[in-house]
Amino acid sequence: MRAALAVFKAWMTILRRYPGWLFMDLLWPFVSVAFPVVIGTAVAGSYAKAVQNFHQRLPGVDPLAFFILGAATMSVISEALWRFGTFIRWQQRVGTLESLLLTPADTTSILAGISLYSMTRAMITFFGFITISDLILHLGLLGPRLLSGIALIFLGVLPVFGMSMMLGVFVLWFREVGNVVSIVEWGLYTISGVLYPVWFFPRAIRVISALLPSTWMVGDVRAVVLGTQYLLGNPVYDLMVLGLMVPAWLFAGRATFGFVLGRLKRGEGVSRF
Amino acid sequence: MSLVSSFLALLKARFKEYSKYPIWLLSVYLQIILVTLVFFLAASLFAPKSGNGAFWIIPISGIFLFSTGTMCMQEMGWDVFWMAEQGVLESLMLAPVNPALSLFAYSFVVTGYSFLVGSIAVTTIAFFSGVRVNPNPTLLLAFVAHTLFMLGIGYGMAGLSFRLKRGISLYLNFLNFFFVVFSGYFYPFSALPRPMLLVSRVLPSSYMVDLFRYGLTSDQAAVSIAGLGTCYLITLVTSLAAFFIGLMVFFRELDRARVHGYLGTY
Repeated sequence: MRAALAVFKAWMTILRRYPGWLFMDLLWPFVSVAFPVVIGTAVAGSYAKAVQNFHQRLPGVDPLAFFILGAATMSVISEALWRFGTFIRWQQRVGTLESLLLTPADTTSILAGISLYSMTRAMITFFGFITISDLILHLGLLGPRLLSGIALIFLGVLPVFGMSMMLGVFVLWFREVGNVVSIVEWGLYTISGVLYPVWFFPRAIRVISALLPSTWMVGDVRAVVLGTQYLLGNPVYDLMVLGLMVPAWLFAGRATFGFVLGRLKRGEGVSRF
Repeated sequence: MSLVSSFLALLKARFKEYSKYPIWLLSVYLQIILVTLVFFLAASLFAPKSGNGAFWIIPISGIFLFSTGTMCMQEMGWDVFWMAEQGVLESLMLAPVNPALSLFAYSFVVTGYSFLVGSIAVTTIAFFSGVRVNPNPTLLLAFVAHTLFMLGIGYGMAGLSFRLKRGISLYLNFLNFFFVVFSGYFYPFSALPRPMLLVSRVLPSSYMVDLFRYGLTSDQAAVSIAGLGTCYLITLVTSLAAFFIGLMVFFRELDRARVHGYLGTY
């Protein structure tokens, strides 16, 4: 526990040195909401017509609230996805990965510390984005329903950390972080229904998206806060699926990471750059 | 060692360095496709149910120009920091070889790769969306001018990174956002509210974007920010100016870093 807190503290210190990181974290969700709205308005001819067209597909849902919740939840997922890979790559580049892994602290504590840092940073972005959007647009997102949404995020982000650990394995192998994580991040963005409902896709893609925790996180946060339909039509079923994903993805992630790390340690080591 | 052979040696080294990461090319290609898909599927929620695919011309031109431009700017901007991190900056910049050669060699490799990846991605999207293009020579002019413009900014940023170190990432990311929002890469300027349009009119890249759309469609209606002649003039003048000013900033900052002794620190 002390090791995890030490890692958390170290990264929070680095974050304090670069407050611009938080600004950029906050900027991206705004851009990802603005893009479809501006393009859609241009296509429809006016915003009023655009909203009319939107309601033909999703009746009774505010398009801005729909996009904002999707982008805010995705910002948490993105942060969780990036964190392990970025951490490993950073340590590889500065040459401290091998020494870090030789310290008496076990790897799980180090990973837990990074997760804590990642979640703190992600929630700053989530709250900041929702609060600013709500204050400007008066969408009524800030309310008791948001608390249930946040609880869902805390549950849903755990399997995402499992995915993130798997990505850490790719970083150990390929010695490259940005591109590996970007592909996965944009893949999730595309098929998890972040900015459009998953029923947009053919059945085969919907099956794949159902295996991803991000799909359930985004869909259920929207269902809780905006009252849209749950993915399985019932909150209990949705919660059960998400609950099952937590041990499955976390175990898969930790086991893969441990296996590859062990092999590398026995072989050429992890200091390759 | 002559200037040309030094340049070729650096070009070869840079090419080899880039070729070590094939996943990078695949990733950039996939990202271009996925980003387009995400935003345009989301935007299609606002489109009439019986729409046609003509609006894909805007993302196609935007994706190509933005991805090639941003790659040039980002890679150039990060270059100095990466060299510093690897511990080769001081030796490269203090070697008898002209330091600009390393920068130019990198520019060649990055521009070549970004052109290749951008072309493949755009061809894929055009194929699946069924958009027909009618290109003219302005297409090439707009592309070259835009690349020079972005390289110029990248050189300037590389220069500033001698001082800013890792902090350069904030400025590069901010510039990326700024250009993507105000230069109309992914939407027509008619979609922008008036205050934003005023900013767009100040940015030379907006004129390059419009000129590129004209080059792709040969349709003068594609140019909406100003007249065609104005677009040509602003594009030519500002692209060359940005390129040379960027180089000047780079060398001024390099000299400053040498004099004050922080060239090799990071």
